[in-house]
Order: sequence, then structure tokens, then C-alpha cells
Amino acid sequence: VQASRFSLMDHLDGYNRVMLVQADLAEPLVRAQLQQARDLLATGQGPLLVFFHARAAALEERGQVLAWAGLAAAHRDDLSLAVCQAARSRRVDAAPPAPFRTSTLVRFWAAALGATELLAPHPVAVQTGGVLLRIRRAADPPESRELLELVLAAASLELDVVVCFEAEALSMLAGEQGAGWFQLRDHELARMVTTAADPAELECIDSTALARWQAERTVLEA
Amino acid sequence: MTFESGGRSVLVIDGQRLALDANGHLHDPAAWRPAVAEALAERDGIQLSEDHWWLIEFVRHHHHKYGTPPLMRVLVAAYRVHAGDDRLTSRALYRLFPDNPVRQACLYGGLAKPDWCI
Repeated sequence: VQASRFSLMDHLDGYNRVMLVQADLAEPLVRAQLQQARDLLATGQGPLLVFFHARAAALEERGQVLAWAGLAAAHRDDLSLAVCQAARSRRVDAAPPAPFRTSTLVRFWAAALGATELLAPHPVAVQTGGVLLRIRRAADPPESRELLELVLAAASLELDVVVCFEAEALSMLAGEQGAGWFQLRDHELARMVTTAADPAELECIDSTALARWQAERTVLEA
Repeated sequence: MTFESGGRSVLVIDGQRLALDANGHLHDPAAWRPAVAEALAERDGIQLSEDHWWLIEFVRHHHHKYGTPPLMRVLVAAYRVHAGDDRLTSRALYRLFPDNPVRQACLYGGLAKPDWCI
């Protein structure tokens, strides 16, 4: 019965809030996200979808896994725990334990756009003006590839996406690993910009443009 | 051209044995050549036409340049230009490869099965 209900919620995008978890479960940021989820559910601000992507999909750190599962058991009708199928299979050759279930990045976006608030990791109102992904620092493979996949999934839904690379993130665009990002620009899938003084091959934007986008768009930070 | 199996699937073309992975894709993408595409497609009951080849080559080129297969919307946009028809949709691509145009183009094009969930 529970599985059927979750399927129906996915179909209807019936989540009030969607949380994106990308770091290792043991990291302080994710522990804070767990507490944030507890607080939201305790104050009746669900239904909440928590989507575990990138390193979080490994679901390492048994204590934290049990804590999330316990929260789901306590809020059976208001919390769904979804794990990115691709990120999971890159790290673990096994399905996630119940009540976690596998899902896709496209489903993540569909749920996020139907919600009122996205927590990625900071809470922001879901805006109709598109998506802004701010990449503050370079990620190593496979996380860099998984960030690109997050954008490609949004692009596959034809969302209007801007990806802003800050100075410390520009190294992600170098070499063979970085080549994949340029399909966003070459095929007009997303706008690639930077705030760095030396923009390399990207369009340089100032703080005014960035502030405007932050006000108009749903913002994710990585 | 023959297929052998038993433990691991093998495609044999002109006496050369090419290992296939668990998903039926070439184990070594560098071993790909057009005869591989023809053999794998023929096994699935598909006779490769000029448009099939265009699709396979587009996906191979995209993968070589960016390290990923193209999104379906990229493929549709490129196919419209190729065919000179702005009205074409993804249905036209599904007519070529009914299971999944991107995945089948990867399969016949000697690329690994896409490991993403897009």
C-alpha cells in the first residue's frame, strides 16, 4: 500500500518540499539536512521528498541510514526517500534498503517543480523563471559527471537552466572530463556563465545579473 | 557472422571473436566497425538503412566529443536538420529504433550502455 501511494505521489508531483542530498551521509551538512527534515515534518510542512544523489546514493554510514529510515517510519505519509539509480549503481552493486527506493533525476526535477520549496541545500522557493545551478568549487569524477547529469536531466525536460561556474569551479571544464559540459552550450541546453575575472571560454556575468537570477530562479548550489 | 554464448556472449565476424558485455554491448568499443553494427542489428531483426546509419554515426560522434550520448531532444533537433523537416518529432526516431533510439544507437555503434538515468 505504501509503495502504491509513493508511486501515485510521484505521478502527481504531490510533494510540498523536495530536498537534494549529495554529500556523504556522515558529513555535517547531511546531518544538518536530516535535522532540517525532522523539523519540517514535526511542524507539518510535508509531504517531503528527499532525493539522495551523487555520494549520498551510496547510503554509507549505517547509523545515518537508520536515522533516515526511522524518520520515514515515523512520518509514513509525509516522507519519501528516493535514491538516484545511476549514482547508486556506480557505487554499490545492490538496491537500496527499504524504505529507500530508486528513482531518476528526471523524476527529481518533476517533483521539485511541483513543490513549493527546494532545499538544495538551502531552502529556496521554487520559481517559475527557471533554474540556476551555482557551482562553487570543482568536483572530482564521478561527482562532476553527476552534476552535469543533474543539468542534462533538467534540460531533457526543457527547463530554462543557467549554470554559473565560480572561479574555483572552472577547472572542472578542462580536459576530457570537462568536455561534456560544453554540450550544454553547443546544443543550447543550458546557459553557461561564470563570475570569475578570467572567464576562459565562458560568458562572464557581474554580481547584478547573478542577483537577478537568484531572485527569479530556483537556485541549487554545489 | 555468428553469436556464441555460454558464460560470455561472443560475436564472431570474419573469424574475429568480439566479446559482448552482460548488456550485449561490445566489450571493447575500439573493436567496433560497421560490420558489428550490421550483425547486432540483424540479430534484432533490423536492416540498417541510410537513416539508421546517420543516427548511429551522430551518437558515436557526440559520445566521442562529449563523453556522453546525446539527449533525445538534441537528437530530434539534429534529425530535423538532417531530414529537412521541422515537424519531425521523437516518433520519427522511434520508428527507426523502436526500443529506444539513443540506447539502440549506442548498442549498434559499439558504445557502452548509457549508465545514467535520464
